[in-house]
Amino acid sequence: MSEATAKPMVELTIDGKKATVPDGTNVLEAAKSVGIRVPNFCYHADLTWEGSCRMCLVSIEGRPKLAPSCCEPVKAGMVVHVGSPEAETARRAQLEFILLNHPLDCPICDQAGECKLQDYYVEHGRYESRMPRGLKVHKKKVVDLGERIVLDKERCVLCSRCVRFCREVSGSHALQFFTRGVTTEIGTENDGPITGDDYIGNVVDICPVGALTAKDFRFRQRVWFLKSAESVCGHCSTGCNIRVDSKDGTVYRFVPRRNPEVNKSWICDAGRDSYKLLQGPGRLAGPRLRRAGTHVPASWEEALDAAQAAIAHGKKAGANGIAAIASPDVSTEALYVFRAFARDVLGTSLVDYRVDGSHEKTTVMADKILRHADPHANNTACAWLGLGQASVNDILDACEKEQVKTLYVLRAEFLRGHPEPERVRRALSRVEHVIAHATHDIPELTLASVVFPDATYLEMDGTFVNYQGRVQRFARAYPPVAEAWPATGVMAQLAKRLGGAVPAGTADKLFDEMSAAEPAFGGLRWKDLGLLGAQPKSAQTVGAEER
Amino acid sequence: MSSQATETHRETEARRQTEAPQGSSPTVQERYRIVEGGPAAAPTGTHTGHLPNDIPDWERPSVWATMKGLVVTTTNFMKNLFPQNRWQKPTINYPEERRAYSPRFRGIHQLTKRPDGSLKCVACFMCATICPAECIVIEAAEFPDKRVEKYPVRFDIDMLRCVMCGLCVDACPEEAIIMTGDYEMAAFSRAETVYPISLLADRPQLASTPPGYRPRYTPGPDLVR
Repeated sequence: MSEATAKPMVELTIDGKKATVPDGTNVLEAAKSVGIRVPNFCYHADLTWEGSCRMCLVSIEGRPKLAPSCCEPVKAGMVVHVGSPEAETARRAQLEFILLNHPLDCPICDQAGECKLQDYYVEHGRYESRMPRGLKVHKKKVVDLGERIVLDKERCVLCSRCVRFCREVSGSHALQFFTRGVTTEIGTENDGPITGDDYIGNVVDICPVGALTAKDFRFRQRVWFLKSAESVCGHCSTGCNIRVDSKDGTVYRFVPRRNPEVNKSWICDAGRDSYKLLQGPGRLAGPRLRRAGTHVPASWEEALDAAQAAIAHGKKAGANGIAAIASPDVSTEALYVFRAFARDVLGTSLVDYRVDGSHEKTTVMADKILRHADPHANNTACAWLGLGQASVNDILDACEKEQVKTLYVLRAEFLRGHPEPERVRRALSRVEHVIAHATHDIPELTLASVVFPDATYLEMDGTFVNYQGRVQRFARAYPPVAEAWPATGVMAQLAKRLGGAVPAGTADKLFDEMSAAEPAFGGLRWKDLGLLGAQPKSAQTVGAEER
Repeated sequence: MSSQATETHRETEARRQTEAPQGSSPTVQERYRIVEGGPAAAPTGTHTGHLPNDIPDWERPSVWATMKGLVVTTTNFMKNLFPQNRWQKPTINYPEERRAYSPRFRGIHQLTKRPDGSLKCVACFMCATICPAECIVIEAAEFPDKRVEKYPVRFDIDMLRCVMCGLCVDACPEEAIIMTGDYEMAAFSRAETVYPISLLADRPQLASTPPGYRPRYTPGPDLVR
């Protein structure tokens, strides 16, 4: 964006409105900036200009012919008419041309409801088809393109978005045009499966019609039943902006949300599938207690009582009686509360988050496009909040020597990442009481004496700080499942019982409080974060270096 | 009350004429007012919610009025017992006898089939979308025939929630759901009132029930009930 602002600004008139945009912008984007939407199929903000669909034709004064607005750079003093009668007629005619051989698949097409063709037909078309029945050109339907994609060649409007994506972004060149004229079609070589492209799921999102559908989402739900929440992918430290589409507490898909500063319009396939890891059969339904060697379900009251007793027991054992391990998988607000909880309530300095060494890989790219080698979303925030006070190996040593009586673990799953799992197991079994927050039922949980079911980031509001130091908000998509309860609430409750106090409240309140107290956050306010997040001034150099 | 109770309507009227100032009848507020002490303390001509003492003779309960009422009752009883024509008889011997309903009757739904016996439904969810009672639950899956592509593996209608509005029939693009003349849906449990595909498409009652509300009343050969 810094490049764009450096460019000289150009002023032009679009449908009587004055637009001022940087030089090099196309007319379509300029129109968008003053709130005029130009219909288009082939234009995509993060791909090169193609101008193949001819839906965005506009009239420009002084030009003999209509011009495709997506391929027309702005010029000073340009006078553009998007709604002129010629442009409207051309649009309508072009729509009819595109729809000539389009199958009437809307009832069974997954794209229905978010289909540009449907929308434009309602806006600009509304004519009776002049194509006699039986004369339509038919192409192959339901072509299986590997693990993720199903192609319907008939529905394609030949906009070439997917072709450009495979050429310019993922570099796999998987999808191409074949044959010519009315039989032109999109496909892979011999309709073979697409392999070796870890970003191919994006072609489904950018397909303006239902030609490319995702196997994962196919036929599972109609899009108009889904509720969307603006969120951030927690699958690696990139922090791709996503939209979580869910219904009745079930997530059906992650869809990338455009953020030019982070992920453009893309998301990797692993991140797209990560919603499956956040729900499903393994989720903990309620608190658990270890009684006589086995785990039994317990009420929250009983679990909090047990945790309170365990913490009091650990405190009696002296300075190193309690240790606490944070996790870079939870929200920044939870980490902030955890830090205060460890310091003021547990009264320990044996606090660390560097269990699996991922903190060193936060800014290391795992591929050439988006992914980072750090599989956790919030290592940056852990570092900013100074949670690495002791080394995790010291904590484990102290556990093995039975100095630590009570261990408080913010996410039990996170401990599995330790390079020596046997050592962790041994250490945990020597500790008298392990209090653990966990989202999923994993075998290692049997080592814990109290287990609190935690809410995933889809079930709460909060922020993640990505590898650039960009603070990004995620919104709650649905309420916590069963009896799960966000760790912030549990820690506040425990603090109250133990006669201490930790920051409590909603995510926005906690964030503002934290940001005011922590210089690393540069005084950012929750309301400044918006949908695309914000970077504190101190962190901006880090991001620039990386990019 | 005792002296007034024996007073006839005519006498009351006469007294009111003499007592009341000439030319001014009691106002509405005066006639309808709350009187302390109940009806006994109410001045003549005041409505107190009890049987007024100034109603005409022919409206008073009496043996004659009772006899008149009994004549009406007995006449209708006899008409129903020995009906002269079908209009005089309000009941039928259900379930042996049944009424003929309109061909557009909105009874229990039916999922129609193609000539090859497969369901016409393509699981487009239009019915579930339009349904105001939200009583339709569909799960879609991939159909082996690529020309069909999608079909329902689950199609449940909760008959207790259904309001029989027929909007699902209007919304269906495939004539896959129609309504029938069948209206008997008594069941012994709530679970039984949720009709799955097996009941909606193949329940035995369909053989003896006429189709009801549907898009085409003269269907072509492509529709199998």
